[in-house]
Amino acid sequence: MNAIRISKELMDQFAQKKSNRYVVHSIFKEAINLMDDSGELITLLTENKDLAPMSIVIFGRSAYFRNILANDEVEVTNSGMRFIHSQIELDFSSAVVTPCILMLEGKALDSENQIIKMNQMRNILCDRGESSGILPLLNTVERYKGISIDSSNLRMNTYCEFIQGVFTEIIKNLDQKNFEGVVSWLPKFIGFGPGLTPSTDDFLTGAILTLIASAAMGEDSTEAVEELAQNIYSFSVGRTTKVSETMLKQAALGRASENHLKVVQSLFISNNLNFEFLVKRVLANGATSGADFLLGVYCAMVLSKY
Amino acid sequence: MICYEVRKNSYYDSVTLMLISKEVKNIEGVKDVMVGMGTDLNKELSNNLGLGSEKLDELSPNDFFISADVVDEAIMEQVVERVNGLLKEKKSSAGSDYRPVTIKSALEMMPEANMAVVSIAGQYAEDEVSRLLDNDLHVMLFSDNVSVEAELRLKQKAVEKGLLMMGPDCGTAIINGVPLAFANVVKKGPIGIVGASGTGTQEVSTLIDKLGSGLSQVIGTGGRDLKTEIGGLMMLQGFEALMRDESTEVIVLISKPPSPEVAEKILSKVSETKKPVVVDFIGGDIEAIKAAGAYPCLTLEDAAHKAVALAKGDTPVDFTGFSLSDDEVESIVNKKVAALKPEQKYFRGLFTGGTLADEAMKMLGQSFGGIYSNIPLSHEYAIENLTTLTGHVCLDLGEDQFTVGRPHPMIDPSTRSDRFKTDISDDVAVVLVDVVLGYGSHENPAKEVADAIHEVNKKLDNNVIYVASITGTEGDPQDLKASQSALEAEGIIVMPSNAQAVRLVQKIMDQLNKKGA
Repeated sequence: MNAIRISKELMDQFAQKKSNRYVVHSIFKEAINLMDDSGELITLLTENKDLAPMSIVIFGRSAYFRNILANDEVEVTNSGMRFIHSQIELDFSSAVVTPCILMLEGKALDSENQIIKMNQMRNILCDRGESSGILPLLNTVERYKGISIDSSNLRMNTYCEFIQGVFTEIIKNLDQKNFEGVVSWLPKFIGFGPGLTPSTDDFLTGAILTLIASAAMGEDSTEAVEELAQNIYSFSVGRTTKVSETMLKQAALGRASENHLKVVQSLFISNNLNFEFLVKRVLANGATSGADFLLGVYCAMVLSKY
Repeated sequence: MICYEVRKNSYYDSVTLMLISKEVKNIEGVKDVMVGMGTDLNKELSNNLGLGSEKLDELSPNDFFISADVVDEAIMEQVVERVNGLLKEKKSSAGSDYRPVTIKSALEMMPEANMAVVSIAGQYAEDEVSRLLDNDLHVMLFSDNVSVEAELRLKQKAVEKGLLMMGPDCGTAIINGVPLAFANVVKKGPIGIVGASGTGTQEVSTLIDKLGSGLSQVIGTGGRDLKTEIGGLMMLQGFEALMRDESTEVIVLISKPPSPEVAEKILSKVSETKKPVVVDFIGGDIEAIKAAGAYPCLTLEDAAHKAVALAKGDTPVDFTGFSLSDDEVESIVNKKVAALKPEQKYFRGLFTGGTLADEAMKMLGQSFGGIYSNIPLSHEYAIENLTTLTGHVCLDLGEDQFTVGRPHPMIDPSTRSDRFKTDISDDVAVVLVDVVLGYGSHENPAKEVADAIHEVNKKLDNNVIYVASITGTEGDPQDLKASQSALEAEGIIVMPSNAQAVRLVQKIMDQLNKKGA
């Protein structure tokens, strides 16, 4: 296998670590997770997937993944990796190295245009978002902020009904910038919902990245947001799936998949990206993951703009 | 009664979990169900729904569980069976991304899309492509086995609507920098190509990249476009698009020789633009091209050189030589031919790219006798029996007779590896091959060629000369340099282009004939 792209963060990690040995942790059709001795995950993705932090995109079709054995040992060298028992080698010496981190360079978007984009995102979420996760809680945050928009097509489900009370407390504390208050509710919030990355974790990922972006643009305290993000990750350890833990850890460092980052960046920086297209790309991620992530982004924006 | 299915340390993607949840709920006799990962809150929700138990309490967040309220144990068995079935199904089908299954849902998902790639069984393609054109989308039709009548109808509709309908059997295009199907990673630049030949277009575009220039657009037309029945509709449409395209300064047209009336139509259109136009109607009428004010070419490589010269504002000159010095070429030829045994007389061309095979035969002509082929230059050299080859032979292994039930050899090189075993014997003097890199191609075609030749050589008593060219760029994912090294490590001579590889073969065969005389 040849890699065509690799995240800069992963390249840096390979360069810094003395021993780069992994075990195949989980295998999906379009992704393979590898875990190191300390329980950290890195991911191999097919070309169909967006580059994510700590990931490598391989050239070609997912057929190559079929031959990789579960629990195989993997050795990383300067230019590639070797799946010892599967007898497969991955060469990443020619892969393009790309950072998967929030970058907010350029002209800041004014408040009016931010609201236009938020509404674009909201409309797509209401029209197309998968509502079997916690997306219907969009109504809850709008009611809390006194925003009156008809969103009747988002119907509450079992998950929403169960978590709505805690969700409201989290929203209230975020609105009041009481991050300690947010942290106190986390044990009752993290790791809940359907999916390999539970819905509330996707929500928190979207919210963290938006808060980090907002702080970087001078709208919030950077230190306080960083502390909150770190606390969210710390509370996730052991309370949610390994894949989700990794996602929250990366988000606390301002990292996420390319299109997820572009959506957040486009809400703060003036650029030529097709915002609707990006939102739809994110929505297409997983079953409810994309919608739950965007709910987090939307909520963080609503709380700061209304 | 409440029943459980637990899988420790099991990971299923979100779509799979959601699907399982929905499907299991629909089984008769299931009153309620919860499917998820064993996080504390998911277990708490199960308890709230009356689906909890001590068994669930023991789960970790990385364990998968189903808890179901069912009428009896037999129903739970059905649930587990259904879950296993769904997991098996999901493993072999889609990933976790939503993939629309109809054009309607695809357009709803991405309403701003203005280009579609269609790769379905040819007999069903017309309706789908027609629908796409009705929705004002340009189309690249990868499928083959589309009737000429259907192709004409689709292209007429596309022309009426000012759209591109590239294909059928269109394997190569690069539109606004996005490679489609088989295409190479080339630099952006001032040269636009309209090509009716897939590997021919890839060869020219990669050579333009290697010569330091770049491509604005690469538009494919499908191989039948310049036949009388179709009338060159898409080459004309593509040409007009490049005439209008501000980023295109030089236009290159590539095709096998068109029918005379189509050639006339295209050359008439060529004379309408002030942009310089390079035309490679491989083996076509050079004087007619000159008369239209365009630049005719001798080879695909010559087309690339002329286009790059024109893009730089230089006067194009014919490129008919080698990148190596004459002395270096002579040294290679002398050394290699000296090692041949008297019984080694024959040439074998084993190509994955049809246009490259065609170019090789046209360049070699009758210089050392006729060349037998499955795409012969004249009927008398058509190969009847592919199992026993005699004389000089050049094969296009991408043709239908080699691809029934297996992928194109650019994707699956085993077709050619198998032919190496049967077609190279101790009476063969020189073997010519192409190696095509880029998107769509096999992940390491050079290694496949090198490995196959290594195995063949073990069984031969004589030293056969192997000559190759690589159609690829440094940006291609397969790694151009590593590909070249892999071939050279096996003693294969790697030339910078198909044309130069053919010229080297010509020199080897000429020298061999002299030696024999």
